[in-house]
Amino acid sequence: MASSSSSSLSRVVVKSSDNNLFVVNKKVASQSQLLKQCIDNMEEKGTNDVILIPLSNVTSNILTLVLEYCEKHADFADDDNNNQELKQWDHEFLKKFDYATLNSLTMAADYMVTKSLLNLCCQFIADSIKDLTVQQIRQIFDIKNDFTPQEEADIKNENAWAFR
Amino acid sequence: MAAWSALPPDLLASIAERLEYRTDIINFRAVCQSWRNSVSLTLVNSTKILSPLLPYKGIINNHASILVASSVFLLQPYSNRMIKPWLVTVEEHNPGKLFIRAPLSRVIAANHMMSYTLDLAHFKQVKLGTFYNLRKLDRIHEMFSEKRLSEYDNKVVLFVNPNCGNSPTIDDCKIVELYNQIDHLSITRLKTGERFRVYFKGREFDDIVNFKGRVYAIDFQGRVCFMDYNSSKMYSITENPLPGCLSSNYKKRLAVLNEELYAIYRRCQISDYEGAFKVFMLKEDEKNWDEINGVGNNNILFVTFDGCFFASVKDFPGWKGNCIVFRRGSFPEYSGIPSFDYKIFEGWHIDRFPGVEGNYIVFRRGSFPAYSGIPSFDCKIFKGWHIDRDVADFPGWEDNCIVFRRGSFPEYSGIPSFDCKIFEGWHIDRDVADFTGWKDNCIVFRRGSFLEYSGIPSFDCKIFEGWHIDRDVA
Repeated sequence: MASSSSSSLSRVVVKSSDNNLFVVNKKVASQSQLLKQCIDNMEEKGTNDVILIPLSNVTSNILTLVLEYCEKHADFADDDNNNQELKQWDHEFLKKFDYATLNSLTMAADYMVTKSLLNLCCQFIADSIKDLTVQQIRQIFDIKNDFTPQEEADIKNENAWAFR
Repeated sequence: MAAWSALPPDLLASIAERLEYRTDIINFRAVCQSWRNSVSLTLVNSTKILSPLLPYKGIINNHASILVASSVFLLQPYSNRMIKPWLVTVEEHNPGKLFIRAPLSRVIAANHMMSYTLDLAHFKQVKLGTFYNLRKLDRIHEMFSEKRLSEYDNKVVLFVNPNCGNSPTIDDCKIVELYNQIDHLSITRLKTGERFRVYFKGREFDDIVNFKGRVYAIDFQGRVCFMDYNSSKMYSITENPLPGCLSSNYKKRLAVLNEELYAIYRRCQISDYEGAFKVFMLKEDEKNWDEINGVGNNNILFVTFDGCFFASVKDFPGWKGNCIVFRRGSFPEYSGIPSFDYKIFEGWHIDRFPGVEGNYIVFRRGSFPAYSGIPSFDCKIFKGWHIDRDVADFPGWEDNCIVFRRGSFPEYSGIPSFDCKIFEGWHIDRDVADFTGWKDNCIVFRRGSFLEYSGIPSFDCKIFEGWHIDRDVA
């Protein structure tokens, strides 16, 4: 299977934190810098065996989503980020999730160093935050107000228009 | 369980950096400790208030210029719902610093000399519209007067590349300038400062507006064309004139609401059965205009020199929908002669219009007697009216009314006597009790706190009298 001149893997196996195995095409896996690094390291060592990469921080639910994203993006060239179809797909992709999933997905993208997915998540979160009041943000993201009354008073004073 | 407060600081910072407006970043920092600690004050202070990209300084048309954004806000005090909201127009000339404009105008109010802050924690803000102007850096004083008519009769549209994604930079922007009685639009690419002209069939346009990632332009007949961002070429949308508009001496105005484009024109001949204005909606597929019955019972349309915007009637307590509010001069005449408005506004006095500082005249559709074409006739009609207090006190008011302000409008003649007369009767410092319940550090904006356009010093004194800063009412 492997070419004779240099060792090259066509697939890797990724293991989620809940011990499910995912067989991933190398091109797809390379969307994640973490996986790509592992593959490159193994290739340097000249391993021809299929390698297993355990991801202790990512559950299989979330890993499925990350891989779905990687699979889609593997079909497009790196400089194709402005592709309208891909943009549309990205937008629809994130819209499906609740905020808990979005949180895990963002953490997973960060952990797996999937830059474009991370950017996408951060932009999506920023877009959901804008125009909201502080109360609304806390409600949507399920965040407790942990400021002391004194801190809160100081914070309130920050939002001001300065005229001159 | 999602733990949004436990996101790594660098991720939180990366999210906050994508927020374009200062208010959003301030809110971000006010959510919880970890969100707050991940975003520095430096980011807050480097973010602009009204537009992510502006103010922008550059050489435009051989002039050191500054492209500024201005927004119209409705501010409603949280502390006392009985206090009516204020309509405030602000301009961001230096990042993070605002000038107050005279209401719905392009002129910076006199109180620019004072430094103060408005604590937004006490106000619900509704942003109604954002517009753009070019100010010449070496002629900054012109911001404080409307003496130069030629400067006043222009319009600037910020044209952002519709395909540039989420975070456009200044390099993705052009500005489109429209000037009075000139048969082209002037385009400036902000990246290079390159400026060129775009002609379309030799037309002079009445108005331009940014709509669906294009710039739409209307001419005196109501014919519409649009400009494409990349090619800067213009293409016709409809060659059909707006019905009846040729008898109007006033320039047409364009307004955008909910992905629809509207054209409004003001009529000269007003009969019992037809209103002073006609409103049309563009049917782009049919390449035609559709006349509609007003602007909608839930809407108020504001027409200013910089552009039109809609507001929801629910934000204006006591107001009825389907009305048009405009400054004098917002429907310029082709002739450039403003005599008609002058006559209408003469002797008019409406006190305390909620939400808007200044004096207003109210036109009710259908209340116009047959009109002889002589301007003074209207003057007579309205002279008899005297409306005090607010709209809610006037049970006779109906839908489909047209409201426009008077008072701090510029006089083209430059003769200040007219407005001085109006302001004489004002009682600026009344109703302090109205403000009970206000917190510290609030600025109370009032009708009368804006500079008279004529710039008469004696009137300035009155303005400053009218300023009332509530320090410790609570």
